[in-house]
Amino acid sequence: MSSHPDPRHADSPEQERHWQAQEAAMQTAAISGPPADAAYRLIHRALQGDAPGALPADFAAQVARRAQRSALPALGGFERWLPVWALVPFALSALVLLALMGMPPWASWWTGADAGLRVALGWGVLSVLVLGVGALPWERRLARAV
Amino acid sequence: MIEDRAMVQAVLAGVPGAFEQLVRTHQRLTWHILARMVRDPEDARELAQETFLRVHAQLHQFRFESALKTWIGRVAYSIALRHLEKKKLNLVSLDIEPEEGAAPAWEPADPAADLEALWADAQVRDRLHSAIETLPELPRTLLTLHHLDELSIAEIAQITGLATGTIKSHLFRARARLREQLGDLASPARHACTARF
Repeated sequence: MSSHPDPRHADSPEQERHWQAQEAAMQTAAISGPPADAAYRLIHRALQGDAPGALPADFAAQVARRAQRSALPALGGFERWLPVWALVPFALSALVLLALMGMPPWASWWTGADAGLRVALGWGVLSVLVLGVGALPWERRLARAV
Repeated sequence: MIEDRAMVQAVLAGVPGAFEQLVRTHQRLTWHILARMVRDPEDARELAQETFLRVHAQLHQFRFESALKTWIGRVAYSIALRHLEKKKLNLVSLDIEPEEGAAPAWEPADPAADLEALWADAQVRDRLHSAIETLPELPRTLLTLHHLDELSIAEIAQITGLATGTIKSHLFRARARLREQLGDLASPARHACTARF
């Protein structure tokens, strides 16, 4: 709610009477009755006919087309994660190949590196992968490509 | 509310034409809010598109705690407010300034005035509409929502986030000002209606 104060709309019985007349004027479209109410009825009639401008006739169709273009297809949980799960066999295959064939010559620096550094690098690479998977734009691009 | 639920579920399920139907149902109220808050019709049209695109993107968050029309109205109102803030327009300054020390003095405009004849007079109608146009944005919007869209004060409070007493105060003072100007119309030679606030 607003931080505005909650002022009384009518501070006197006379103002309250006019408030009631203003509201009562909305109950009938006819300009009749006591003169004090007739003015408010005239105002009500003016306000009812006071529609400023208009939206284009095909506005709803235009917006619906734009919304359709901007929205991604609604994917279920399984479909959304399918591209990610597809990477798992590739990762496992790479590990199996490394185990069977050993490190390639260009990776000799790795075997020579300190064990602590290797553990730290391993966790660092894993963290980057997890963050990359979790990042929505990356996931969306992947989902769109599938 | 049942219609709201069916409509929302259809849109979320991707039923063809459902969102277009939702827009068509609620575009009138949305337009009234935006056109009243934002004076430029081109800006209002762009903001109307932005409103419904946001509705489309956030519809899954709608919890049916209010009517769909007031939820959409609130989206439109907040977009209009942000637009006004960008243009450095302070909404507080859009209110009718009360006249300091002016005691309310209520008199009927002119008991003898034939108001039906006045309404038939195009010039009078034009002047009354011009008087509405010169009202500040906020009270003008509230008047439109109350009189044209026939929303209750509670519904207007849901849309605007204003307290009901604040809304009543705006409505009261704006209608009193119009009535004052109507007094000038009914009796140009003298200020018959001296509703001051």
